Amino acid sequence: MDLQAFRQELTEFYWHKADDMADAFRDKIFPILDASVTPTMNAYQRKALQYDVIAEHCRPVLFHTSPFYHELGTMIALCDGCGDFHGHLHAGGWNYDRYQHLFRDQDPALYDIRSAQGSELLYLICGPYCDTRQHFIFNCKPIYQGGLKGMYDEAQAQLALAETDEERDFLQAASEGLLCLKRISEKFAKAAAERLREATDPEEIANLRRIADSAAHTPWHAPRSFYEALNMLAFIRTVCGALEGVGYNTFGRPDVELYPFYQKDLAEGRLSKEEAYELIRAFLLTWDLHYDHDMKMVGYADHELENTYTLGGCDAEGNPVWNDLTAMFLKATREQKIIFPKGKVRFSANSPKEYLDAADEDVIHGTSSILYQNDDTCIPALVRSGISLEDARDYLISGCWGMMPYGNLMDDHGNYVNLLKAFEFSVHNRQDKMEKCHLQFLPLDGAQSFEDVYRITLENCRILFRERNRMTLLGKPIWSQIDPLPLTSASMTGCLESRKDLTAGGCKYHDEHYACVGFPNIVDSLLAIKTLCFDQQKYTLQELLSAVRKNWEDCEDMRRDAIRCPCWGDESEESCALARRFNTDLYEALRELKTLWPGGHVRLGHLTYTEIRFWAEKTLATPDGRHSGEYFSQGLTPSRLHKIESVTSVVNSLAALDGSEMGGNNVVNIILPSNRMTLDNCAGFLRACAHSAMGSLQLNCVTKEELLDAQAHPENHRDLIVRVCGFSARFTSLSPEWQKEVLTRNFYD
Amino acid sequence: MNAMIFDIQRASTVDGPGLRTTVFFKGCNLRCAWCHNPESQSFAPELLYYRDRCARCGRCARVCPHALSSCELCGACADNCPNDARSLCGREYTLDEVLRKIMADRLFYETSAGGATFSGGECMLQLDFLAGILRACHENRIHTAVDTAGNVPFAAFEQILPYTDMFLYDVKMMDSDRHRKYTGVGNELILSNLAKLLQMGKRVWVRVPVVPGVNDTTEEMSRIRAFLLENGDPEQVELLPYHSMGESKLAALGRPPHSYAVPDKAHMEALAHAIAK
Repeated sequence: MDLQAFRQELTEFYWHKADDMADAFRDKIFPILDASVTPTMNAYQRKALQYDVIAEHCRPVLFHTSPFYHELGTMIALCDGCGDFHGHLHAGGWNYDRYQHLFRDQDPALYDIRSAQGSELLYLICGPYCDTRQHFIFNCKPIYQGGLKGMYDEAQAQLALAETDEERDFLQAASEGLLCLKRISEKFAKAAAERLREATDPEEIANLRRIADSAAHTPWHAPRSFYEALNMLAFIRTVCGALEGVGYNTFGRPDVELYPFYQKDLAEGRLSKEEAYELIRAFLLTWDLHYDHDMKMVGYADHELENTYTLGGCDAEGNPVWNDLTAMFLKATREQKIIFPKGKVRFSANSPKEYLDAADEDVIHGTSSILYQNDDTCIPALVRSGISLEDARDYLISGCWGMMPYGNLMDDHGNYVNLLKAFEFSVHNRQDKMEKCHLQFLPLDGAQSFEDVYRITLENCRILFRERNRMTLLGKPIWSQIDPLPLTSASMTGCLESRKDLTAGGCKYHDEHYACVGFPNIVDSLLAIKTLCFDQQKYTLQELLSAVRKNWEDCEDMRRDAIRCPCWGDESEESCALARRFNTDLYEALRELKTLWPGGHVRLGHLTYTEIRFWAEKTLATPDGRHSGEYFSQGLTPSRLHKIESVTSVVNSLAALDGSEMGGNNVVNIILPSNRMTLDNCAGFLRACAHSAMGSLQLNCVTKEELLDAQAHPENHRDLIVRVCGFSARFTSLSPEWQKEVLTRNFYD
Repeated sequence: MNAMIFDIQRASTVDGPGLRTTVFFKGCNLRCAWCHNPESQSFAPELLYYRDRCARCGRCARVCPHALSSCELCGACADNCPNDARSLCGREYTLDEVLRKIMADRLFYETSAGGATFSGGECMLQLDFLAGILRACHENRIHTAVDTAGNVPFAAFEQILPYTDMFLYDVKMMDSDRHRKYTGVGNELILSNLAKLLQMGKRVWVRVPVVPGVNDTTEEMSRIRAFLLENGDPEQVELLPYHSMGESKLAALGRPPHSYAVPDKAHMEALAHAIAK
């Protein structure tokens, strides 16, 4: 394979053509849809119409140098499928765009409160009540078994049993969507056959022959080969995204699901290991080349391509997963310095050393393009949330760190719940803001004991949880009447059987997770109040609150006293006990909430995205010594205000928490010195982490001196790839503000 | 029983195998001209003042019982400095205190085949404490390493041998006069002790600091190699290039700077080749 030509062709398309093509296609499709829709159509019928019109008008894009068929030119390069992305609507976003006003129409007052609360940064969901920008999964497992046809046959069988119009509409829309995928696949087969008449390059001819043959078969029928199974992942991601208008953020678990195809092809002599590697490399590069890695990262999510895949860990029966395909995905990522798709590496205390070495090799040399995910915490946490052991073992990571059982749960990864904002309202007694949000948080003023302070803080978290929950329960039930996802639903366990769209609660599990923001800052603030105002009685609570309210101005000695108090991550008995208590209380508070559909749980998580900077900039000072505007801690990462003695102290602190309480995952940032890490030590470190409550680990191995040198001489550090906030980026591509964010993290010697 | 210790570094990756806790004892009977831990030489606590970090905020003077006119090493100035411009180096630790620190990271030793390393300064100059902490580590099944310059009677080694799993042993040069010139002591006792350890089959990693103008010749490396071969090969020989990280500490102690260059990579490779032959 001519890699240079492949790179050149895809770069040319994705960097210079895709966006204009997508906009032009949308401009063609929207008028057709607007003219075709009738007032009597319900949401399922509209969605079926959308599938049909897009399938009718889309034209396959076949690359001269690529072995894959998947591109339609209907979405901008960086779009993950979401209908409205980076200001670009695509054709698949038509139905949502035209009917999202119904969210407000059902109850304008409620909607406006929700909007006010969202704009005051109390929580984040990207859409009015549902988050069409969140991370969706198209569950490919049924396709590996029986192709789309199997799903279609099931939908037709259920149609015969349907009892309500809604069930029938859902199943008919799902069937229509599946047939549209078949039509589009056949278009690829036809286009390849036509191109064959003119092609002269032997490699291109071979590719086109394979595409003409495969596209006529897969994904309507189950893949017959490793190639077809791998291509199917690309096809589903792009083509379903184009039809459905939502982003599929994971390619699943390729080293689990593709392995039987690989083994069979090898055994039957149809595939060599070298050919398999070449296909994997081309597959990964296909997504990586959507993106200019030298583009400056400045804004909220402008340095993202939401494609992920999960490697390793264990299978549904608990057997370790480490095979040729795992090694090939990791090798290709290392060799090509691939950043997207984002690789998620599941590990445990018992992971094979060779597997950890393959994952760690680039990381210890300053190229951190993977996320580590701790099975030993996550599987028990999912089980405690009510997920079966078999499903929990088969979890994957979608998006940045969305932990979910694969293919049987629709979860909302935009549920950031900003505990620190509620805490700010309380500390600063911001009546104006509370009024605006129609929420009354309890101020800390007048608390007579630390127990009072703790009780008030926890109650404020409960108030925020309950309000967030109220919004969901009142606002979200009409999602299925606005923009259902029948095609996606057809793939999810439970939807066809229950004859319900996933937006109507058709999935097997109904959990939600609340990704809490600010846990370490609140714990540190509580420790500072406890130590300074009640244990030592050095200041009164009111004196401390006054200092915080004036952003510590003229109170530097007091601020330094606050910073010197016990803190999260110092592994002291005091900090560990308080953190454990607070985490358990948050867990219990969430357990009291109802989910929209019965039988679900609201799972506790500690994570966010680039909000550690953007929300922090709009959050006033806190009693932990943090000035107004200074960074939040990411997930459970100890605050950068404190110099933590050792990285082992961080992990030991995490071991004090009950990991099974965090079914919504948590994340920790750690920077270790690149000049001292070896594969053996990195593996040993990860195995120790596995014994703690750590969920996701963003591990960078780099020294501050290297980063500073990269600022001064970027041309010498192109392979210096750092974990930022759920994604990786070339350090040299970060804006000065983001470079500073990385540079001011805690570095452990 | 107490020991004067100036640092306990956790998650160390450079003081023996695996992830380790390294305990740095204060006080040394060598005065190596290139010493990168000059604060380790004296047995007494010392105050380091990093002038370049100082913001001249005056907080130290406000909290000092003597307004900085004299110093009783109470550490109040260091505790209150917002920029770590002042730091108190060295304090007495009890054996239980050190053991607790070591035990805190037990899990990491188990997962990385690491343990505890006792270094300095010269840890063997506080022998009773060292023997006690080594024994305590062994009772808790913690792997132990002693990092030494070896300039103590062999009887001192005999006292700790039962509880020491390995030695990190510094060898500077083979000529005793030059050794005396650059470290203040001859090398006869050092080499004799090393020979005995090797002959006894003890697990030893030899570490050779490479200091330009002092010992950075292939001939010197060959001589060290010959000595080691003669007495039983150590498990590992490691060259440690001189680095300038001790300079800021020298300045903070009010002492004159070193005048050595940092050896370049190619030269280090040539020396590594010579000592490996």
